[in-house]
Amino acid sequence: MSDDMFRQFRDLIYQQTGIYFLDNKKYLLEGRLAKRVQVLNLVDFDSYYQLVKFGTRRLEELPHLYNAITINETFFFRNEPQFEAFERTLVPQILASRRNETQRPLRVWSAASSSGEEAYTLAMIYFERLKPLYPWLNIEIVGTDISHGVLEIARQGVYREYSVRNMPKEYLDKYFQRDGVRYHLDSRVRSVVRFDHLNLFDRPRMRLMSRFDVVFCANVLIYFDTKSKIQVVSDLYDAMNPGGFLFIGYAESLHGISSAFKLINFPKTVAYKKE
Amino acid sequence: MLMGKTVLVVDDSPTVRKFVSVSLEMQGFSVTSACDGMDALEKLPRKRYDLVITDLNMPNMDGFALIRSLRENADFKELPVIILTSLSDQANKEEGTKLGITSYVVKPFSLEKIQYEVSKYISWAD
Repeated sequence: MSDDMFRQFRDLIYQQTGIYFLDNKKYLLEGRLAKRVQVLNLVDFDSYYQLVKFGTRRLEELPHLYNAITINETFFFRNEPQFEAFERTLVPQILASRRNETQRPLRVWSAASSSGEEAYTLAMIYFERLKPLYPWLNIEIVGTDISHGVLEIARQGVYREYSVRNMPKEYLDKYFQRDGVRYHLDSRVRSVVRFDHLNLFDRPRMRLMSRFDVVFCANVLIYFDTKSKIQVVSDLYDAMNPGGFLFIGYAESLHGISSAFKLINFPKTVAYKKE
Repeated sequence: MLMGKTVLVVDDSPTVRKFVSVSLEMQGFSVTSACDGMDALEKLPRKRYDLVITDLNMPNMDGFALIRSLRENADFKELPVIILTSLSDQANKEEGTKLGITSYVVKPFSLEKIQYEVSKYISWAD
């Protein structure tokens, strides 16, 4: 791929998704787009560019482009310190602040859900740890992702060894049915989670996301440049209830992005509180 | 009871907004209006709506884009939507059906017509 071609793709992807590929990530973009060029039987990157920029089928191809450029690797119980903070501190705090509104479900958003592992981990924690303490508590977990492909996997709830490798055995035994190399997630766990397609950079649609108590948005902001980060984080903020909490990835920080949140320290992790 | 049932009317024409609002308020609905799709997306999460009535041709964000946004969001997927438009061609009606709208009303329309269409989806009883 020529440098010029790379820049054209980079600008197009940036306009559509807010995701910015630095110069040193050219090889990454090239490798990922090469797969689409091959699948579509195109002669070169330029014809692919013409297709996604001007082609009559561009609206059909854009989701494939999004799938190709976002990394979808994840597993159950990834970022365990965040789940611990969620279960032991945040949920009790949120419920205590609600006083009489016990009817209201706890709303949790896995903002870049990929194939659903994070959202379903939260659902299992709800059944295993929260429900016994708060029998009246209902939960609504929403998973969203820019890639249609991973959402399909998420909705099916069938996983391979790789996804479940970090899961405590008691959860695996209790909530999954093994069928050869596949692990089928229990339908009760699936019933409290919904998956929707959402581009976090799509401002109008972000406006519809609202009333969340806890938002998980790990390893997403790394894709955005500062300007896009500010927009996305501000929209996440608006989507949260006062007193709600935001988690981002370990390597990420809101420094220089937003001063609206209060930083809360936990063992091995931090959460951002909307006050 | 209709009392307390809420409707969001989305139209770029103040006259239409006013006419629909008054028609429904006469029946005890609580009505909010928005001037285009963007304005509607801003208002929708702020309270619980029972029904949306939307025009198609509007600046900033048209009616179909608004409905598509609703259909892709778990919280608004099931929200009943009535299209109220001067566009009467079949293609638009089919697009509306595909997006799961509850009815398609062509302008000009009467006060009774809009009251009737709304009453079909919001029952007096509950």
